[in-house]
Amino acid sequence: MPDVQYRLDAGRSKQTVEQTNRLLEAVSEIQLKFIRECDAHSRFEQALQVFLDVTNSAYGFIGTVHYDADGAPWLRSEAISNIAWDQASKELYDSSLPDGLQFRNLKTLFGESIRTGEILISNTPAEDDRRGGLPSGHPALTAFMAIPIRLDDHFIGLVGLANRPNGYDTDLAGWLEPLCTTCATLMTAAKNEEARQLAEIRADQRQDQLQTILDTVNARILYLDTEGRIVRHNLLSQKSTGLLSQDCVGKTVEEVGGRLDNAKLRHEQSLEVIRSGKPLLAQVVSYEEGGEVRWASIDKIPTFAADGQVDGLLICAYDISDLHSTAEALRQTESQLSLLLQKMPAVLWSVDKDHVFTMAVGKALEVLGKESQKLVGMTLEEYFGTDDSNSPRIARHLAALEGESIQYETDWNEHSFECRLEPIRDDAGKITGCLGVALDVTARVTSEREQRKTEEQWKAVVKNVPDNILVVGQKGEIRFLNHLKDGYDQREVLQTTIYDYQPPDSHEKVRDALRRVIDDGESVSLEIVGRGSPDEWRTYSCRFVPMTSSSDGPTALMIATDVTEERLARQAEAKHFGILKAITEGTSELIFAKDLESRPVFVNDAIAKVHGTTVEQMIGKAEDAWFSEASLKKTINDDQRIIRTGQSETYEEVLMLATGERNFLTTKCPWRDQDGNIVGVIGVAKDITEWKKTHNALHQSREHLRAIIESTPGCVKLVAQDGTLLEINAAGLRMSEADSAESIIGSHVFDLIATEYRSAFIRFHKRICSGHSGSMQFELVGLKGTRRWVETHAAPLQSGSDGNVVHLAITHDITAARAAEETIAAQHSQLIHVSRLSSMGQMVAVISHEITQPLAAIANFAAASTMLADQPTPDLKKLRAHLASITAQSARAGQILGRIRNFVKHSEDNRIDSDLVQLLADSLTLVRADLRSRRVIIQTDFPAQAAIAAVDPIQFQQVVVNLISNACDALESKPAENRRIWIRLTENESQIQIEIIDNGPGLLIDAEDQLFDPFYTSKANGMGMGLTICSDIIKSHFGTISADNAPNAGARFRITLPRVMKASNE
Amino acid sequence: MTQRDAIVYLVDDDESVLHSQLELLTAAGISVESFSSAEAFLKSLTTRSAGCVVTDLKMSGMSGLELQRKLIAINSPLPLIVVSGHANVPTTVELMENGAITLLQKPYDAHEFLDAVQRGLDQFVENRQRSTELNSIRERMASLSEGEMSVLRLMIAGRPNKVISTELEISMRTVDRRRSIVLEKMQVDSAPELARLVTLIEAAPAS
Repeated sequence: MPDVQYRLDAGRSKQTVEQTNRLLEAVSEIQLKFIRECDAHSRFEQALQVFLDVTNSAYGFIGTVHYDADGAPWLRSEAISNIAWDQASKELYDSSLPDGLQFRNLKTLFGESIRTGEILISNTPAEDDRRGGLPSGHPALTAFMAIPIRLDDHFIGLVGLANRPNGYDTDLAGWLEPLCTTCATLMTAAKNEEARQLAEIRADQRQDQLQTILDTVNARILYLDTEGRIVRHNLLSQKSTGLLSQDCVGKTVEEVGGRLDNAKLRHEQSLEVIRSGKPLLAQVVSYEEGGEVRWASIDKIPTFAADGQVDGLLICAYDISDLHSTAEALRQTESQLSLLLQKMPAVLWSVDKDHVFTMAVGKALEVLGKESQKLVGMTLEEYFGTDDSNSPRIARHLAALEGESIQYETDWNEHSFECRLEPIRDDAGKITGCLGVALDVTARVTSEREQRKTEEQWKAVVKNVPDNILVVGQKGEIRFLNHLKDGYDQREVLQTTIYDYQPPDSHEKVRDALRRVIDDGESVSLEIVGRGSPDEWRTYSCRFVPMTSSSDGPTALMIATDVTEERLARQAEAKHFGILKAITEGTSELIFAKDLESRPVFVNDAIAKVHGTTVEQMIGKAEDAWFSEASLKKTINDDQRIIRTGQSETYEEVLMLATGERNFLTTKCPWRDQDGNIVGVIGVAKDITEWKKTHNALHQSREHLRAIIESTPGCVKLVAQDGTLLEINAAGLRMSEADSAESIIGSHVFDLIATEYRSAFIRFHKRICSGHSGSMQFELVGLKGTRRWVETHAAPLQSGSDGNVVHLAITHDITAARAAEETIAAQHSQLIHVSRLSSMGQMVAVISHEITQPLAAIANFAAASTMLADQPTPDLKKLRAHLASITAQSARAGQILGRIRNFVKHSEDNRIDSDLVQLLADSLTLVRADLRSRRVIIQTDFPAQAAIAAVDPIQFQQVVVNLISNACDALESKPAENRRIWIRLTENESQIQIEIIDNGPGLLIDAEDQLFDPFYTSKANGMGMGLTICSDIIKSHFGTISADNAPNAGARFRITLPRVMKASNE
Repeated sequence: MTQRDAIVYLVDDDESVLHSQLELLTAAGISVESFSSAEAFLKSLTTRSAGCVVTDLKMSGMSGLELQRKLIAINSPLPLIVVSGHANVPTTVELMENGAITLLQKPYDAHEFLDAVQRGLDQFVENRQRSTELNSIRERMASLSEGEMSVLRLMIAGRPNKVISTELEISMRTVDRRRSIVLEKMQVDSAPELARLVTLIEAAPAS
């Protein structure tokens, strides 16, 4: 703490002196608090209290100055008077107590001081233009002083005091300097403390990170201090010692002990490393874990402090148990091998590429009188005493050095050796030398030779026996055999066992036999499969008999007779029988054989099934249980006849079985023995009961179909591709008016079709013959000339002897239905005409729509007016306006009605120069469908060139369509085949004349005059407006329309219109 | 919404009818805007337009039926009342199927007219509430990530977590986590509730 500077002004009053004392007391009190480590907050609280007391200020604050990243200063309150004036400011005050309030708005009095770093005094803050204004509710500010707090040259804080009764001055500020200095110290201390806390938090985080890494490493890690005490260790080491962290830390490895052996030694070793500062690496130790010895490689590495002194020891232990055990096993193998070579009656030597012996070991060296040491270093040539590379001994080695494996036998010093030479290769496969092994087999060879002599004689005897005779040891080893088959080597065979010549599955059987023969002294016979030659399996019938023991242990004599051919023959027989059996049992046919007395000697399952019994129940027994008496008699008769005649027979028969009546297709033939004598009957019968039923049903259904076709009212016929009638039923005959089928079948069916439909029918026929189905309506003309409307439904039929597709047609007479249809169509078209032509009706529709508008408006205005009138003070002006609107709308409705009368005259707007020929043609298109359905034929007579008149095309067409329609109506009373209309257009210089003439009954004589009057009609359901409108239209086009009866025909309507002359240059 | 906010939009090419309807509704205390053609009305239409539309069926330009189709196409919430001198059956059927409040035959009874207008205004309030709810669900749905969305699809299809995990090739833990995020974001407690929301959205016309 720096010295506190203060001054006493002699001129101050006693009160000032007392205050100064109070100031000094406070300073020392705050310093005391600091020493006692009270928290920063209460220190500042106390300091603020002193400031307020000694200056007699009402309130104030102490704040520290901080800087943003961009250097802008701001203030944080460390202590502030509680001047909360309402709930919100109280909450703000309370919530900011722990962390302090932050003031960033420096457009204030104290802000000015922060910016300038100078003392600020304002005894008239209300007028001071540096002020920033106070929040509403803040106590009034009457005087204010802000003193910057500095430490050395740094501006670190601010004290603000307010509302001293006498105001503030610079002297007072000077007087407060000791207290300010104390605040500076407090602020610096607080700042340092914050920094320390932050550093601690960071250090803790790093420690945690380090621990995580340590725990993840696959090694045991301990960190010791210089005394050898554990400071830190990872999870893995905790596992191996079985101790928890708190048990280890602070203790030495010796104290922890745990499962480690020689803990004391290790501890001392660690201390030695710490002392010397030299790391100890890859130290291998063993310890026991879970009852098993484990090996570990330990590194002990000292760590150094910045001053170069050892400050700790890092111990890392890696588990190398697996590596260690492998190395141990290798070492053992090597030592065993070396021991073996020492003891073995053999020699092992190696020669390098330069023919120098590099090694020679083995007991047998003694036999040869050689010493290992002497041999090593000699060359092959020196040892064998020759330079001749063709000498077999040297040649063998040379061959081995070339990569061959060589085996040979040799005698050295009256000892027999079996030798083997193998090339030695390095890792790359290159030959670096050869290795030789020689086994002393002297004893074996001698005894073998002895034995061979004694056995020679009886072997000669058995050699001549055709059977194979073997002498077999307890384990099946072949000691002797009399015949050697082709492909086998005597010596090799004698080194093998009989099992080597048998399939594995028979081993157990043979082993068991040998045991019984050798151990129990029994004789055993059995059949086994064996290799007759390397590639061939043969079957042997074998007999094993015990033999007197020989020097090589007990043996058995095995006599094997080759029975392969016999067995093969037997198998073939069984196989054939199997096939036969499979055939007879697999088939649904009934197969049987009977003896001369007709008793079954063989039946298959199918027969048993038919009789509802089993095969066993039937064999050898009379068949009376299975057949009715009559059926039995018949079968026996049949059997006897075949036996008698010796002829095969095939016939259908119906037999009454115990299980019911069945149909069979039976073939029976005589059964002859090898000598050709008949010994019975063999038969095959097929149960055709079901087929028979189906067949009968089919036949029946065909009959039914036939009957149906014959009796059906529709015509059913088959037509060949060329149109020839192939078949036809009775109805068809009636329809075509043929007297008999013969008179029409074979004739051309197209001749029956009415000419106008013939080509359509031929197209239809071709379509059917190409595989499509379809239907068609057309008129048929009978042979006697009757026309009828028919509808035919046709389908392709794959039929006929040549397999061609023929046309199957079912045809109905629809003349009556057609007539009804035409009536309906007529009524319908009448309706169409009425709607199309009654422009009157359309006009009414338009007018009625138009007239609803003023009516709706009137209704709305009336309703609105009523509502207005219902109000307490009706808006009369508005009411009057509504009434005026109602009047206007009524007038409008009247006008619309008035237009009805002028409708025709008003529609002359669309009048253009038009080609009447074209318009007539268009009109005919409109009515064509209608004409066709009414069967009216129209003939036209139009000029080749255009006939131009100024008409409204639609109105003109209305007239034409109306007149044609009238003509059609008039023709209804005429026969259908004679309904005609002629239309003719002629023109002279000024006029175009159009005549529409029908061959109907014509006009009534007195009708001609009233014809064009409204509501005149000759039709029962006519409106009487059509001709009136026509007349109006033509007259409005400056034309005339008239009607009369044409000579030799019906009615004639004549229209004339002014012709428009075309300019010649156009 | 109060009666004050709502406006009845009158569309008729016949000036006298338009004027008379305006006077009638004004007399009944209802705010009105009138247009002499459907085109003019559509031009003035904004998303803030509230209320209902009264239109003539046959007009020189766009017909009442075409206007209805346009309103449906832009997903307008304004209900439609059609007045007509004569409408044929197919037109009537289409209008009603498309949700017109009613079709009034001219000339009509004033009470009938006012009653239809009131129904139209009520219908609008209902439409707006429903569209607010739909928008809220859509916003929630839009806050889901692609991964969460695919889990949602399988959730509402009733797949157990294990199947979802296999189909999306993600771990069970991820499925679990996404499932709870989906429920939280969609502000529901269970998959069936979730399915109800999604069904609402899918049944509604896209906006």
